[in-house]
Amino acid sequence: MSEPTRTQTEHARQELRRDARREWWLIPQAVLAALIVAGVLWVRQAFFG
Amino acid sequence: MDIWQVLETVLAVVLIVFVATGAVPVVTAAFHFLLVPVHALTNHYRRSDAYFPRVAVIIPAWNEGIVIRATIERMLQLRYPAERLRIYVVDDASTDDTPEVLAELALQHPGQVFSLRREQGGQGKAHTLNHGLEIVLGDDWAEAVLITDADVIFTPDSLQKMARHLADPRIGAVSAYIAEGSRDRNYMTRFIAIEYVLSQLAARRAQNVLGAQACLAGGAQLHSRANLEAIGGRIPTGTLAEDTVATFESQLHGYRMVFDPHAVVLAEEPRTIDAIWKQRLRWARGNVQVSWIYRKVWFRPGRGHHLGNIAFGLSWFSIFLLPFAMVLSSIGLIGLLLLQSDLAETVFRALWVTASVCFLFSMLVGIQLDPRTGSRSWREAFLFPGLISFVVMLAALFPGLIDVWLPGLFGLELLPIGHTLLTVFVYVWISAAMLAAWGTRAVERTRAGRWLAPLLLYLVGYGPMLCAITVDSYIKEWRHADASWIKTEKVGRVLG
Repeated sequence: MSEPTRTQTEHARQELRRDARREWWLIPQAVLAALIVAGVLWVRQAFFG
Repeated sequence: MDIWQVLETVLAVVLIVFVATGAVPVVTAAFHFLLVPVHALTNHYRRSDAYFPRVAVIIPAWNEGIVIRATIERMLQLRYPAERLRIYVVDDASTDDTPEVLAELALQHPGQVFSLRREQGGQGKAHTLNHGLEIVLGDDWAEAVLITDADVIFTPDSLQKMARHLADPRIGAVSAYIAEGSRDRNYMTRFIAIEYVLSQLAARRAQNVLGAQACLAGGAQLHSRANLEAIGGRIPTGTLAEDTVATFESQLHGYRMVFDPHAVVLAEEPRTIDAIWKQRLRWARGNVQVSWIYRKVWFRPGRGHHLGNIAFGLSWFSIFLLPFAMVLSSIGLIGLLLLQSDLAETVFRALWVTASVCFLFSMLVGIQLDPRTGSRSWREAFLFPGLISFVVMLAALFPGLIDVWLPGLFGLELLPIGHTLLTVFVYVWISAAMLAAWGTRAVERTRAGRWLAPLLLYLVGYGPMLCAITVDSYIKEWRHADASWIKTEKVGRVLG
């Protein structure tokens, strides 16, 4: 049974590192969502409180 | 304080508790969405590595002549060492041209595509899979087994991305993100697309963090051979949720399950209310069965697996018991309205402001997780609970906006009787939405249903429709209704 080529292995490792890095975007995305929610609550408090 | 005042206070507290149950599912959902960013810190990528086990793909097929060729041809184009991939299609006594298509493909790809036929089929997916598993595990070639469906299209890197987690021997199985992939989308596929973002990209990331997965999608389960052998070398039969049972059994045998959000596969999903109702009813009935089968697992942490986690149990039951929570909430609000209308107003506002904040946060996180789906389906995201519930949220968040400011724009004023009727409607709507969803399904079957049903679904909401299906599953299970496998009709609309 032939082994995966070095190129295939290297490509898989690059993908792995890239996907792990992409997960860091979850933090600013959640912060943005929280800021928008806070903004809505501020409008409620300021104009409809 | 006389006895009547005491009784009134006790009754008020009980009714407030009733109302509060309505907030439990949304708060639990929001908690899980708060866990999503934690996945940046706690994920399995650090323990993964480039890994290419010999993978046997098992595809159960019954009358899949339209879709099976494209599925296999795409699978043969995967970025995965060709000599490490074998495809076994288990033909479950198809009556269309599936056997001919498979025979042709097996001839074109000798040693890579294998056609296995069951002469007596119709027993369900688990039996079909077990026929394939018996053959695949019968020799020692396969190091991992990929279980998928005949209509699922794997993107080029998906298998490689799933397999990397099996480099860690503690991992028993891996699942991918099954995205809605129809070429010609309609209102239903857009709702399903956003639902999958929420239920997979968000919820399953949270479950990765919690260390327990509720269900590895039946269309993309990559099992290690060791894991399959640990659970007896076969998928447990006897339920309508073979994928969930396999997921639970694997975890109970000490293996961890992982969801990889970057491994993407595409699937064709139902396009009508009736079609999704039948599909989800099967899933929901399966969940009723699973809830009962694993009754000794829930809320019992620390037994070598994480299925007994409190947070995991809350997540499972907040969906499973959501219809009860909605009905209790309505009963509580109407009761409070009769008892003390001012208190009812305060409790209602607290419930809906909480629900609105949790909903808004969840949707804002959700639409960012898959920007392509988010940009296509943002309307369906915000109308997920229905336009009526969306307006109720606005009314709760911004007091006076709907009942004073909006009529005022047209020089109108809401009379006290109008205000009372509106209040009763809003309080009842939480649970009445489920009945309305049932009605929407009935309307779809009429002549005007084709254009009226989508409008009604936007009004009533996709979420309440899922709740109504859950109620239907309780009823069907209670009555021991026929549980034969009803196949979701697929016509090959997935983007090729």
